[in-house]
Amino acid sequence: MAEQTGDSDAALIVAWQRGEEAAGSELVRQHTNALARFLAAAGAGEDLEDLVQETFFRAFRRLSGFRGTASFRTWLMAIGSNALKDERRRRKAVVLPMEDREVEDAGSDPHAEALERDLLRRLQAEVATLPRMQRDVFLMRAQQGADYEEIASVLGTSVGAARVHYHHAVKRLKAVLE
Amino acid sequence: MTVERRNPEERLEDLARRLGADEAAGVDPQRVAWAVTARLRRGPTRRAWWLRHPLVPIAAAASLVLALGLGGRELLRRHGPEGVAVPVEVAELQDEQLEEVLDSLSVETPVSELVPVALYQLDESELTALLKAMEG
Repeated sequence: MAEQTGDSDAALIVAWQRGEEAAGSELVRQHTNALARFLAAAGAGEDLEDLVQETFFRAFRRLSGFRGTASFRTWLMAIGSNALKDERRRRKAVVLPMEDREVEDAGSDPHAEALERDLLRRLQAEVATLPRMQRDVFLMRAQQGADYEEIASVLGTSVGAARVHYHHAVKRLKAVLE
Repeated sequence: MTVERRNPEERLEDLARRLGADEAAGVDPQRVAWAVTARLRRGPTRRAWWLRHPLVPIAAAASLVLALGLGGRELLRRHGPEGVAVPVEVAELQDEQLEEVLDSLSVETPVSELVPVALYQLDESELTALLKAMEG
């Protein structure tokens, strides 16, 4: 299961549905970073914050449809993926190269740091070009730590198919490391 | 980096956890929370007046029924009763029978259709071996 916020999520959802606006704000605060990382890795460009907002807005609008078969966070990622798809369709956006983006410091060795930065840049570019199901399954599992059951649940597929998508994604992404 | 010493899959997962971290750091959760709640407070976007007319859903449903009826009639006219019978017969086949039929026709069953039944019960090593074998 993805990072455990389950109990507090359930309580916050109930509170929000009772009309407590602060509970909704708390849900947003708890999941913004994870959602933003997912969307950025999936290829969201400079509109990342707008896309995060749009995802939460959609999620709250259809919260009555959240059945709890997956964690709120994984469910949110699936909504985010749809929002990203809609945004791309609307703008016909091109995935932004990462040249100007800062990448986490790899340590004090400038050479290792440069290699690491280059590797992350190439990996992110490759992830963004994966078929959508492969990309979503890979990020939900490898980046967010979700298990196959909940991934399959939110993506409307079977556990076996999710595993195959993951396998294909890993196979392609491993080539970047070689 | 410690990731250099790990196997490629572990290394990939380690890197995957770091993807998007820098971009995400620029997104302020408080600002997002404020914007989302403000937008929710405003309620749904107002639709055009003609979309809010009470007869619009009825007209849409009537159009859909009409289109389906005409489409279905055209389909029956073109293909006749035998065209309709095929899916029913296929649906009644057992998995093995269906595989035999597909083999005899040299039709490769898409992996995605076999997956839900066959792969669900495999463990990681069995799945990896199978996928490697499929890739040749």
